[in-house]
Amino acid sequence: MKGTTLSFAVDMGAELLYCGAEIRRVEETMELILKSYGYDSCSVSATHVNIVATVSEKDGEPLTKTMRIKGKDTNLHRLELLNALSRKICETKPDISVARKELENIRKEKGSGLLAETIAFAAVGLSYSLSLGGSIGDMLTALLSAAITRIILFFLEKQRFNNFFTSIISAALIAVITSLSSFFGFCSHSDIAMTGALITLVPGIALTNCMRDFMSEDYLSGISGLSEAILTASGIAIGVAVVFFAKGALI
Amino acid sequence: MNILLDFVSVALSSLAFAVIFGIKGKNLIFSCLAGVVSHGAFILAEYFVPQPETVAYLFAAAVMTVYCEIFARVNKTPVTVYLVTGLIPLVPGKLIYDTMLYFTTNNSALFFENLLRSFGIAAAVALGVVGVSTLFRIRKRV
Repeated sequence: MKGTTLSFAVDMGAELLYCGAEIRRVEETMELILKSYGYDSCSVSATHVNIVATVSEKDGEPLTKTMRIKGKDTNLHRLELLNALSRKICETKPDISVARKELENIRKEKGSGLLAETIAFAAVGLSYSLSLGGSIGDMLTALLSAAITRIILFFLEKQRFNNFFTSIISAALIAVITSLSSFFGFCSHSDIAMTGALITLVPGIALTNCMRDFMSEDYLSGISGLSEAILTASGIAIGVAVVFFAKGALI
Repeated sequence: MNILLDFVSVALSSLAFAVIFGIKGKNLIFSCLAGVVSHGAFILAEYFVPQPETVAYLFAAAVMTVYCEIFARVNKTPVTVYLVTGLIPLVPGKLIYDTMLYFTTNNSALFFENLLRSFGIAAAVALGVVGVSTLFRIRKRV
């Protein structure tokens, strides 16, 4: 029994990390689950890449499970469902097999889908350049380049390229499309069009979570989240800068 | 008309970001409103305290975090769900873009000026979020 409960708690924590939860939430959830099944002396620690959890009963052998977390698939809807599940587990203490079935169901939850996300990227490009005061041409350029970026990101993610490379490529792509559009006189403010499209690449969740990690004194995770955010941001800057230098050399 | 268009565009971009992060159901509306709240607070603060600009960002981030923390408790949702979209209107996209532009054109004076401004704003936003969230955590413990 001890083993299955521990495995379930670790799987739950792994899924939370995978969806983009902050460290404190992961550790607290796992601790609460273990405690609600009667393992009062448990010790849990998590970082962005691994989870270690140990439970022990009175006069019993301690039991430890570790798990390496690879990759990330941020999905705040799944995060919310997991949160609701852990709340339910702590209140009603269902059988582990029942809880596991619900966890599997949450795992099957899909994201918004490529089409919806492409439309959303386009909408971000459009509305952000609108709020910066862009012309119709700027808005359309941002819309188009953001939408194309989402589709390219889909293929880059499929190839499992790293985060840094992915942001360089997608930022460079946006810079190329915008430069072409302004070269042919389609958009009047290339800076506004480019900012509108680039904002879709901003590492929002990494930044938010690293702030929350620092706040709950998880400095290690805070630093790793911050370096992810900085690396992504530098990737964007490098991608655009390369295109700018190339443009400067060509014209 | 201009201010209306401004709010519509912020609401649309927040909603679109919520879709990108995979948020579904009624939380789409709440996280979209988080963006609107932060932009509204920013405009208000900028009107009353135009200088230094970090004050407006700090105020907007604090107000937005209060909104997020309250509705996260009401809806029993992780606060990250609302915070992430609420932060987007406070990202100084144009400023960061200019910083990069001055870097590529070797204009070091303007580059450093813009870089410092960006860091100042980022620090103000972080302080606003962290400060308010910490206060909410104290209440929870008592």
